[in-house]
Amino acid sequence: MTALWILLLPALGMVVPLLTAKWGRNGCTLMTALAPLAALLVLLQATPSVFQAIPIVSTFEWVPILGLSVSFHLDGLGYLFGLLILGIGLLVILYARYYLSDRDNMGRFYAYLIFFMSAMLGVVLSNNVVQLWFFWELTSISSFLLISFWSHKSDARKGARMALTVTGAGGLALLAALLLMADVTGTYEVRELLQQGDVLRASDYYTVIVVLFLLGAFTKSAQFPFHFWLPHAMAAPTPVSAYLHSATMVKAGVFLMARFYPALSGTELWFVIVSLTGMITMLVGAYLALFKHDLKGLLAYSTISHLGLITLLLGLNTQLAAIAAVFHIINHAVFKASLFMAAGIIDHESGTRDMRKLNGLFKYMPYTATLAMVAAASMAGVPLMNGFLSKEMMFAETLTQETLGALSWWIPVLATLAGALGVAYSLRFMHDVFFNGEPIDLPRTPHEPPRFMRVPVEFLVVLCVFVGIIPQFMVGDLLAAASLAVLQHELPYYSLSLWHGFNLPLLMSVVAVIGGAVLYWHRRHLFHFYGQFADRDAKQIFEGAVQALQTAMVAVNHWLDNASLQRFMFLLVLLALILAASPLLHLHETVGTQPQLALNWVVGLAAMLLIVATLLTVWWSHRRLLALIALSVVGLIVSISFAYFSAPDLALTQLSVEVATIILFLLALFFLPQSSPVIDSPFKIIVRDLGVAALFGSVIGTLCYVMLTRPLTSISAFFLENSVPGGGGTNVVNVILVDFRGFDTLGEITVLGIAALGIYKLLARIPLYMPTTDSKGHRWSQDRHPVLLALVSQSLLPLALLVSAYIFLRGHNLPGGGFIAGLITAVALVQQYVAHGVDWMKGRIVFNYQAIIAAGLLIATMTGVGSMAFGREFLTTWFDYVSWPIVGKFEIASALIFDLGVYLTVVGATLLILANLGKLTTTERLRAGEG
Amino acid sequence: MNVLAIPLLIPLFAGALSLALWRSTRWQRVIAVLATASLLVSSIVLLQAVLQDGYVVLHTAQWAAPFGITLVADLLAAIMVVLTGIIAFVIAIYSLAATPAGHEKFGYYPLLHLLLAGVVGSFITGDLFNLFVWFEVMLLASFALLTLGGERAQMEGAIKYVTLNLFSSAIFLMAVGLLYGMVGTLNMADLAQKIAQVEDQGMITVVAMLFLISFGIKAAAFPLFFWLPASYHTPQVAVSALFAGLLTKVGVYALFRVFTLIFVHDVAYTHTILLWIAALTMLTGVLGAAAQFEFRRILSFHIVSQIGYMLLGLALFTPLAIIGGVFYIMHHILVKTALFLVSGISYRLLGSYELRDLGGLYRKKPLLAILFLIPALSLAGIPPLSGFFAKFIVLRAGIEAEAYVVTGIALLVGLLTMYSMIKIWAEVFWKATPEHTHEQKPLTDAVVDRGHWPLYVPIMILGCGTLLIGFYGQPIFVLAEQAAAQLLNPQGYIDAVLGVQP
Amino acid sequence: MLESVLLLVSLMVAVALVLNAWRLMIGPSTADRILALDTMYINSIALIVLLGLYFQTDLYYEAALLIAMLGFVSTAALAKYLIRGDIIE
Repeated sequence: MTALWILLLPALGMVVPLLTAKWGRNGCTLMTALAPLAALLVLLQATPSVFQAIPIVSTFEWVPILGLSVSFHLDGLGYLFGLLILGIGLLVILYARYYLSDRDNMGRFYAYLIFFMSAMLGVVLSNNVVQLWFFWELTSISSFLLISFWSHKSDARKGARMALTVTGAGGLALLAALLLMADVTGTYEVRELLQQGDVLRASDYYTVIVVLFLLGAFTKSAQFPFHFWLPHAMAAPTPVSAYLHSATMVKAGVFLMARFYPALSGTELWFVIVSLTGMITMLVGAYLALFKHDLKGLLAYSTISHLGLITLLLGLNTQLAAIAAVFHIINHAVFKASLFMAAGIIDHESGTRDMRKLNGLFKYMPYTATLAMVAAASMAGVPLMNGFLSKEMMFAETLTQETLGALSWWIPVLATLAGALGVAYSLRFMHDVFFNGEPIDLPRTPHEPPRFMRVPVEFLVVLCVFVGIIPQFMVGDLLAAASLAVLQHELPYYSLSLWHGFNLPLLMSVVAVIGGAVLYWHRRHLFHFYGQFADRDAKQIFEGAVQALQTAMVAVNHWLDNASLQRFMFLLVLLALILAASPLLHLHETVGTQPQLALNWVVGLAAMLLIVATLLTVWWSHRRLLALIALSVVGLIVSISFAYFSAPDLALTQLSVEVATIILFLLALFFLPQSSPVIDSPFKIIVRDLGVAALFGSVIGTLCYVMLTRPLTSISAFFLENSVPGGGGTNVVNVILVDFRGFDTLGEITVLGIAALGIYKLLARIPLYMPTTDSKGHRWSQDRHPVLLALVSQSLLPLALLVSAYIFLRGHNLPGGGFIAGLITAVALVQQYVAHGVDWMKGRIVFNYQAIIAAGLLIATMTGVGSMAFGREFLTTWFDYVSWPIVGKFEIASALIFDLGVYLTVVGATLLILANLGKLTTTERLRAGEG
Repeated sequence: MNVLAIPLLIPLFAGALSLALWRSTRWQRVIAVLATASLLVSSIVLLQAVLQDGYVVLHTAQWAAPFGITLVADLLAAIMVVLTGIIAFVIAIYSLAATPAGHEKFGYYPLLHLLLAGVVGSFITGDLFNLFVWFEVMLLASFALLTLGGERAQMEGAIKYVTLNLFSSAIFLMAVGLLYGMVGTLNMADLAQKIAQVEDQGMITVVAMLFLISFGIKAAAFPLFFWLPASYHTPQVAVSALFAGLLTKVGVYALFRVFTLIFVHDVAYTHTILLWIAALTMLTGVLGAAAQFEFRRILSFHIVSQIGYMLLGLALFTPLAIIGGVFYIMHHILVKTALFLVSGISYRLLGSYELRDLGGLYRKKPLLAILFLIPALSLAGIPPLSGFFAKFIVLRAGIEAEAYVVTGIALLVGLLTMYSMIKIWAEVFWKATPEHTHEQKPLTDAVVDRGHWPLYVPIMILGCGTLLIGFYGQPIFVLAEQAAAQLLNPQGYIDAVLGVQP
Repeated sequence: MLESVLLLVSLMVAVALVLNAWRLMIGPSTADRILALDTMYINSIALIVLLGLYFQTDLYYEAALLIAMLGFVSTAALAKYLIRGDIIE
């Protein structure tokens, strides 16, 4: 539980700053610091077991099936990092209290800071790889929130975005690597993974795993070539830079490498990638640090360089190098944090970070200057400071490796060069800022900071000195415990003493110091040399890349999504063609075994007529009235063929729908231009479209032919047998519609109702143009309601209604049914509209059509529900026979009521559509706002 | 057994009733809230019944399968119906405050209910042609809802929408006809049984491809998805959110159903094609999103991209992959609806959907910012939110199935999704309100403006949902696992449907 | 005997349909085409009645009835469209 508490306390403490923000700066700071302090105490209390190499593990199951558990462990490495995170964290909290101005939202800042603290603790204490990745991502997010804290500054936003993108991408690579590792070793627990190093190294996926893993680590720790985001993260407030970007978050990458050292290191691949990257980073970072004029920029690049150093050490594959790496992690965190804080103090008190303007600050803030110079000396590697010790170890290690064979001596030389550069920029920091003449144009007069703002710096600098002088006492046990965790192996002999005699590493240090001083002395020349190269701002490259990506995307998108319906349809049909045709190619024969029917002349002529009429419709497509007429012919022939193939119900339905459609089209055609201008697509497009259409048609035709010529046993036999006994009707089609598959019909009348509603709404505000002449330019006839038509229609109505009722009632046993009857009624009523006009009808139709549709739907649904009330399934029909005096045997069926619902819906829907279309040209039309 | 009919009957009744009460929008609103609430309750009852019995079957008109139309609810269907209930309820509440009066007068509520009836019907039907009928209900109701505003942009979007979807229906009908012509039945369970007896399995593959295209159009897969970004951003927000959350999932559900129950004979061919389509869908969706600068269009493209993940789960066809797909569907419905609703509130506050007109919401409306951040991070796959689980399961399934290229693409798409969400965050919440917007619609300091509570409550419910799925991953995972096991066991479905006599 | 007569008559009616279609195609005025359509309706009535006789069933006569009724409606609508353009006012 211990490990869990160390994490839990800060996690809970996240809300404290938000709640106590009103208690004033001091109050808020004190309350905020409580949780980390408590966690630190818990950590310290675990010191004995850690130093005795007894790890503390606690596990809770979360989703065991997926291998996801909540699992923590505390060993030497975790302890070390925990100390860094919590210790430096507390110092930063104190520091920030003075650094933040009154305009900054302190509560929110502290909350983000504690959020980060918990996330980072999660990374170092996690024992489950997925959990580790989770906290890894959380550190990226909290860093994002912190860098962009001053969100009104655009470079803060840009820096934050860049940081998140780079570390996020790395995070994804890391996830892939972790998942692969878990797949190879079969466990998600870190402790178990570490035991399986040999399995991993021998696996086929080792290369992929290492590359992805290192991508994750390198992006986080700003290694070359992913280092560019760190300097831009300096747009964050300095406490953030001191905490995240020197001591903790950027260390997460090297932490990861250290943590998985026993599992992944020890191979050629690891060595080559890691040490080379580390070396290059160390050099590049140090080189660029020298030329920065911004205080924080110099420190940022210096951090990059030192991280490169640690990486190099972790890549050298020797145990002593690993120990040196751990040692340098400690030292670097301590002095770098203090340097950042000092830089922040300078910024805070004098108003600028530009080293060209800052000179001679020693006499304004002597005390701070001394502290800063001590820390800088440690950074340079001056003896008696902690930085010196770990640099010595590094030099020693570079001498003993044999990586590049005979050229291995390059490594120590380059290391010394990097050391020299390090001394140079440290000198720059010390000399240029605190001496070197008078300050130029400072916004504020510099003076010493408030007492407590300096305390954190003091504490850390004192640590630097003490560790430098009595390292074994100060950090000996800590180092041993942490190194044990990294190596998972007995520690070799090493000595932390200051003096190892006059040996090569000492010589290298001396050379570095002298060389650095010389470099600094001649810095003018160096600056001149540096100025020759064009300044390539990483931010611009990044933003440029993002912009280029954006532009490319827009272009692709524009091509794909150019809003042309024709193109979409073309793509669709093409895809359908390809996907449907490919399996067909594998079919052996087209014609099946089913015997085919004989062809006679009448059928042949009718078929030919059908084809001709269809082609005419397409040919006349821009002369709409003619196309409509051709379409009617098609409908007519289809009805006749239904009749021929013994489907009278279908024929009846087709005929009624045909007429309703014609009237619908005519109503709409009035508002359209009589003929559209003939704008043909370019010839190539026409050929292409024709080709695709022909191909598609032939594929579908072939499919139908193949299907029809194969024998078939279907379920239709059942329907024929059970139509009378089960459904009570001899008209199988109708019984299927209202009984067997009544549920479908319910859905279909719903569709009809919705269509009517939709059209009704569309007509409401539609602005329309009424032509005053017909297509040939003749004016319209003045006769609105021709008398002859009115007379004939009037006598037609009762006859039509009679036929409709007849067809409705007999539907169950003979061709007919609710749908056809409904259409006949609707058409008859529409005919009255046509003949007599809207006004005449208004007086005679008093109900609104929506109500009819609603009634129809309700009746149909209630019929279904009614059967449920009787304990049967939904929509079960019931029928019985009664004897009436004169009529004889008569059937009563619940299907009739259902059919009534269908009837009403059809009537209501059709009339709603057609009548309202018709009313558009009258004063009865729907106005906006009416219902 | 009739417990299966209730979730369908409620919206049907509510629709008809709202239609009858055409004149009174007040009553329609009351009905809307009551009906969707009862839909939610009945769907939970259904889920419990399914958890108990495995399958709940209803033979309508009391005719045995395969002669009558059977309604079947297995776990996947029940889960989908529950999610429909949640979204329906949430949208109804949102609509109370957000629907313009003109829309309400012209039948917004009846259409809403009928659309829901179509969605529920599609989920619980066990008959292919019946599925077509409910698809038609959905298509027309959504078309009507799309054009409710009458603006030009809506008309354009609606025309593309309806044309492409009608094409999908035409292909569906062709495929059903061909299938009946070969197998002789329309009942899904019966089809699953009889399909192996057809001589020319090649023909079955052809029909499978036609179904793939038809459902693919509905589900917005590549390259059939263009109707979605062309239309989803045009109607009013509640409608957009409803579409985004539910309609495409019906297509995905249909794909899951037919490609695990019926067309499982030629997995090498069909599911490889699905794999390619999934990968391309993921990529084109997210790349398209990166090129957009209008809030809802970005979200629309993301729908497409996420559909790719669900299809990936189906295409890999291992138990873990199907679990991932199911999980993804659950998570995405909640998250996408929430995001669309957030865009609606930002429109309310600032008057525009274009990113260049928006800004300043982080400082002034922190509640809204959180309500955006949670679903957005969930979409990007950040733990412990639901999106992380869904992505994690799918990725793991991909690695185990050794489909490395696709898994890599999935990871890359995840990164780009995160980039997209950050872009929205930066443009809409972080940056200060642009001058021209500030003059016209200045932001108040209130955390929630007056009268806006019905707009916030739905998003809070959905946000809680995604958090719940994340934190209680275990029981949800077990649920998804059971659903996946059922899907991969067609015989269970067949037995439940054909073995039971009314 | 009856069968062959029916076949012959059906053939003649079918030829009449083809001639109607020819008139529909060449026009030249719209009124001609509408009349051609109307005549096709009438011919279909004949064809369906013949079909009923051929199959020896009376199920198809309602279809003939409907063609007659609805054919009138559609022709009237088309005609009104020609002279007024607006068919419902």
